[in-house]
Order: sequence, then C-alpha cells, then structure tokens
Amino acid sequence: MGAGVTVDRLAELLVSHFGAPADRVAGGVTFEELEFDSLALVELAMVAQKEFGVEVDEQEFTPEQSVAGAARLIDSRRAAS
Amino acid sequence: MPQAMPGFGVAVTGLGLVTPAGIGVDEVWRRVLSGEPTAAPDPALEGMPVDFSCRVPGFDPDRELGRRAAWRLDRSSQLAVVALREALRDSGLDPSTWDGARVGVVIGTALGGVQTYEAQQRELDSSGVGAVSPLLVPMSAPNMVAGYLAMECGASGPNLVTATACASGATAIGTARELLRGGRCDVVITGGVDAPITRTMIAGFTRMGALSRRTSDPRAASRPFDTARDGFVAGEGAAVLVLERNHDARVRGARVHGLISGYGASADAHHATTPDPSGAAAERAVRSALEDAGLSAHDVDHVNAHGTSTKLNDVTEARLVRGVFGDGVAVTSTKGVTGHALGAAGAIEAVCTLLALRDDVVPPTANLDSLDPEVEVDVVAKEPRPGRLRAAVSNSFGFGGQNAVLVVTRS
Repeated sequence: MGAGVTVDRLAELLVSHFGAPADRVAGGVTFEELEFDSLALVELAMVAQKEFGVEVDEQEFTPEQSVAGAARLIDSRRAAS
Repeated sequence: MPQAMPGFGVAVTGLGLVTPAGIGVDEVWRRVLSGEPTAAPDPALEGMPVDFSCRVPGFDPDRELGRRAAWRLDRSSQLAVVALREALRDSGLDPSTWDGARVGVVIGTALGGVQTYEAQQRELDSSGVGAVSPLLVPMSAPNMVAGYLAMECGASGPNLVTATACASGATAIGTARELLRGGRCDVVITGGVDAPITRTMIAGFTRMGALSRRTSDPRAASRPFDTARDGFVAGEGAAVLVLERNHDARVRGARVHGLISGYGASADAHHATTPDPSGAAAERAVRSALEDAGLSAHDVDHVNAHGTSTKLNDVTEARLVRGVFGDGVAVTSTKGVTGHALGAAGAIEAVCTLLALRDDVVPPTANLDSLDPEVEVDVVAKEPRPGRLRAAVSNSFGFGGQNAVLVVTRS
C-alpha cells in the first residue's frame, strides 16, 4: 500500500474518531497544531494499531510529528512485519 | 452575609434538562405533564431478564457536542454538558465575563462513568492492556463530570461531586445552596447526572430484585403507588440548575424560576437497600428541610415524591408523607414518565417541582390505575391538576439509607 493511501486513511481516522477539523487535517500538519494532547496521542497509537494492524508504541506518536510522518512510521512497521 | 438563618432562599436562574422525556426543559415538561410513559424495549439489553429502560430519545453526542469533545467524555458527562449549556443560556449569565473563582460546581451522581468502565473492561479481557483507552480513568471516575462542567464554563470555585445513590442530585442542590448561604460562591452550577444503563448494572439491579419485570408491557412498568407496581425502570439523564443568592439575582434583573428554600438530610442507618420501615430518618429529613425553610407542613401544597414504583419505597414514603402533611398535599411521582435516573433523579425532580410552582399545576403519576390501599395520600393520576401552589417538597431517598429533601418556594 502506498504512503499516500496511508496518509488518507490516517487523516480520515483523525476526523472520524478524534473529531479533528477536516479542513485542517493534511499531511504537513502536526498533532500539536491539531491540538492533540498526550492522552489523544496514546489513543491514536491504540486506534492505529487496530486500523492498520501494526504495533506502534504509545510514545512513538509525538506532538511535533506531522500526519505524514505518522503515516510513514505506520508504513515502515508494516513493511517490517 | 446571611448565616444559617431559616428561610434563606436561593434563586434558581437557569435550568437545563436532558431526560428520557426529551432534550430541553420545555419538551421535558410537556411530556411530564402529559403523563405519557417513556419506558421502551432497549436493544442494548436484548436477551436480559429485564430488556427495557428509559433512554434519552435521539441523543447524538457527536451532533450535540461535536466529535472533538464527545469522544473524550463518558455518556454521563455528555448528558451533563448538554444540560449545562441549556442552563447557562437560560440564566443569561456570561461565563466569558464572570469571576470564575466565585462560581462553584456541585453535581450528584450515583455511578459515574460506568458505561466507559464496562466497555474498557471488555477490551482488557478480550485484547489486553494495550487495548485499554488512556481515557478510561478520566472518563469513568465519578468526580470527572464536575471537572468537565467547570472546564466548559470556566467555573474555578469549589468543585465536587456528591454520591448519595438515588438522592445524589438533591444532595448536590442542598450542598450548592450551603455554598451560597455561607458566602463561598456567588453562583453555583448544580444538579445531577447518571447514565447507568449497562448490561452489568442492569444485571445487578435485576439480581437485587429492584427492577420491574414487566417485559410484556414496558410502557406500564413504571407505575408509582399503583397496586400492580413491581419495581423501578432504569433511566438516564441530567439536570443542571444555576443558583444565585436571591438578592444578587434581583439586582442583575435575572428571571427567577423559583427558590430552593430548605434542605434536610439524614441516614436511615438501617440496611443496604431496604428503607427503614419506620421511616423515622426520612421523616426527620423532611421536617428539618421544612424547619430550614422556616415553613410548617401546612404551608406545603405539593410533594414530588421519590416514588420509585418499588413495593417498599412507595408504601414507606406514603406513610411518611401522610404523617407529616396529612392528606392536604397533592402528591406525584414523575418517575412514572421518566423512569429512575438514579443520581440525576433528585435534580430532575427538583426542576419539575420548580416548574409545578411556576405554572401552578401538579403533573400526573403515569400508569396509576389502581391506588395501593396502603397509600393513604392524595396522589395525582391521569390528568395534570391545576391549582395554586405556595410551596412544595421534593423527596429523594437513596440506597444506603441516604435521604435528601428539598423545599421549593415561589419566586
């Protein structure tokens, strides 16, 4: 699956599960800019695990990370598994 | 500042309701006056010995609060936040300009975020620790609802939750009044909430023998004071009231719905779930509430009973009401319509009592076809009963023997 597809699915998840504003979610936007706090990032690791079937440690998503960066992390885990 | 003087009435300047009888005070009050029950089959309880409940109709948290706020809140807090917003709008107060340090929050809840707790327990059992939400604790801890209401409106004064089972909402309102009377706050957001309809909790209440088993006809299941009653119907909901000292409310030109003029509390010290058959402690709560209000039993025209529709409560309570008030008060139980929303019940019923005084009408007790001969009080049935109401009492009695009674007077 290409990186673009993962970004799109992740973006959709940020809107549907977390209520992030759809018009602000884009690859270059960071979680901090989307006002994700530490609890939301742990929840994201949990939800991403279910959605993408990969192991993501709860500290691996960070406030400074962009949505595209998170998608790359997910894809790298998927390639490794 | 007035200190512990009898007859200290606090003004109710804002009301918000989210109940099985509807969303919003006007919709709820119309339904309560109609006497139309809300109990219905509940898909979430399918296959259980009790498979019906009283749910808030059409409550969509994502629509009401936005997904961004809703996903982080247990259903109980979702209901409370929606009720708070209505109450604040109604009060005319502007949280962006008030001194938040002078605004308190006191909310009653019997069970807290049990829906979240139960769902996360299932995740743990089926998928392990990694599947448990980091929001489990802040969503399910019983104190959190008061914290979330404070965040919603910048209320940074005293903030607490009262837990006295089915009396929690009334205890909260009585406690809120004390914060105003003692000068600790200028505004208190108060009320009650519960969203207790989960398979585990319903199983527990079923095993206690507390719930109606009328699965063939749920609409007729909540029938306080009726000969054929066989238990309560579990409900959910939230009621929020904005309280201010009467003088302050007058000075700012607020519309005052009515006054919380007295509060009495006591404990049966008798049994976990069975009310003391003598009703002595509950009666003491009623009498101390009257004394606190500076009223005698003869000043009271209406009692909004706890009236759960259980065999034991209704007879014990009727005996107590007769003992204190004789047959001179119009008694109703709005639980016939709304079911029993546990920690929210006392607050929902305080609002109904305020509205009864405002409109000079006592709502009927739903499903009351045949008054239990042991109930020797004047219970309003079938139709709302108009008539001048000077003062009213709202009773709330909790499992654990906790009793809380409010006296409501006209504005």
